[in-house]
Amino acid sequence: MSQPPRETIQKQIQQDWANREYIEVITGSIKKITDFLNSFDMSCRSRLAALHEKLVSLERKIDYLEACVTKGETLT
Amino acid sequence: MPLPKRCVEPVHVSRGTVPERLDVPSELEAVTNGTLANTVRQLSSLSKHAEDMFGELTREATSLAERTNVLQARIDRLAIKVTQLDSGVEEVSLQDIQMRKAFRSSRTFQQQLFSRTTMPSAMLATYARCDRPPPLERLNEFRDDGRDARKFYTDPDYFFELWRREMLQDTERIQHDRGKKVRQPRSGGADGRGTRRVRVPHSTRDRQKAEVVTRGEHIMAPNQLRRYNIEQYRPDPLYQTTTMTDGGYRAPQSRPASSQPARPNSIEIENQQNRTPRLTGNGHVMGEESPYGPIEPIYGGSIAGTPRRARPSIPPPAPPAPLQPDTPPHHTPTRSALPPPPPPPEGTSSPPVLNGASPPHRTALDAHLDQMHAVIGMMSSEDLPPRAPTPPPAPPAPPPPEDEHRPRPPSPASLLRGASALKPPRPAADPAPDPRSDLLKAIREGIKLRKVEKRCEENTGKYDTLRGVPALHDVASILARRVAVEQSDTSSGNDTDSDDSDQWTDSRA
Repeated sequence: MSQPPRETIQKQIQQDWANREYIEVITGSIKKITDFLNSFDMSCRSRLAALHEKLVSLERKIDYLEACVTKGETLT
Repeated sequence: MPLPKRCVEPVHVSRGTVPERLDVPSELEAVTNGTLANTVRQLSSLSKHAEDMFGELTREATSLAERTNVLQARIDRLAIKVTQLDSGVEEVSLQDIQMRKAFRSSRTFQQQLFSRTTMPSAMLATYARCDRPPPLERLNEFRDDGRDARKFYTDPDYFFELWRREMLQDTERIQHDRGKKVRQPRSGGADGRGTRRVRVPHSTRDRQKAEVVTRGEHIMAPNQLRRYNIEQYRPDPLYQTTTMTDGGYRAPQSRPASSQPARPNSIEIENQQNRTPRLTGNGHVMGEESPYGPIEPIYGGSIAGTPRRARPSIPPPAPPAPLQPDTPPHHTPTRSALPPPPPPPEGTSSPPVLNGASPPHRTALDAHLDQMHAVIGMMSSEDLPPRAPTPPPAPPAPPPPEDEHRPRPPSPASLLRGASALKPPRPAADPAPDPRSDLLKAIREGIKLRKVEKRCEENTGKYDTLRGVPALHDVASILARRVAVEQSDTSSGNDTDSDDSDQWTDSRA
């Protein structure tokens, strides 16, 4: 068994570290993306829900107003 | 345990990246490559989830936008319609207003928000990977009680069922309690009712009905009580006869029944008057009371002994009482003109009588005639044998006495029964569309309308209860019923407060 030269081993290890760092950057970015997506999703949903609530109340009001204004015939 | 909605996979990027069988020249590179490959897989998974997420958001936003557009269109149409409205040109008849249906929102409660159908697709995918429950439903045929065998293993409806049962029991309890509460104030509040109740006849009626239904007892409608009060001042031969007729169709017991309803009323009146005369020192009233007074001891023992005791303690509303001696003749016509008494619950005998005497559609002229009759009746009434000796402070007898028939000294009323037979149809008479002043009509219609509303509520409640099984999965109906019950509770409480606050507070205390 021929031992690889010491330099090659060192080189391999250093390369490996560089690769690990590279991978770390990538996975870190993935985490960031995930975080952003999550927060984006949450904020979007909360806003949409608020909007939905307002719409519902508005629709109710319009329902009532239409009922007030109409006489027999239906507006919608 | 938190349930992740979306999982980015693979989680462990570097594990298992070294091929075991293959001899790899450089393991470090293999691990690096494997890790990179897994990272790319993660990215793809992430983008898939992101796409899914954006898709959901887009869908939701689109639906909101559509609704907004529709709403905008409706608002525009409404604006046009409103600008075209001209109250000066259009004629709105009272009739139209009366016949108009109350507004009812067609909007439905959102429910079943977290069901299989609303589950986000990502979660659904996770769910699909779960193991199916064992096919226990195949054992159903071996069960005698007809229950689903699988529900012993897993039952998604378990908590809803639990909640539903609790809510229904709660509602029933509230209703039950309310029945009791209402009862006390009513018994105590006879005094106030006679004078002030006029404003909210419908609520009283409903309460009475509710009680009758829940307790299975006879309860005189408030109108009847009122009328009795009035009549007491002027015991009317007609009235007595009618009572008799009512009793007549009931059964052989008709006689006592008819006389009994009259009694409690008379007693109540007596209470009012007893107190009032003391306050006012009106001798006239006192004289009338005495004949009916003796009744009390008889009733006290059997039926409503407790309520009576309680009543005397309640102070009668001072203001109305003094007026009564003078007013009765005048009030009678108006009251009679007011809402017709509801069809007597089961066996209420006497209430219709009053109607018969002065049906709602009567005119003022009729009322005057009634008054005349009443006066005559008073004259004759004094001849009547005392039905029951009652101490002056005797509390008003509770309605239940109607049901119990006790032997009484034959009263002239009984003799008149035969005559009364002619008048039975009147009591049931609902307000017939008779010539009346518009205002009167309006008032009556209004009261009627409200009554109808209440009935609707009741119906819906019943509907829910009747539904039974369907109600199982209808959160909205259960909640709606509960709300209705609680609202009616508060409203009735308000009524009593307004009508006879003294009694109400007393009873509460």
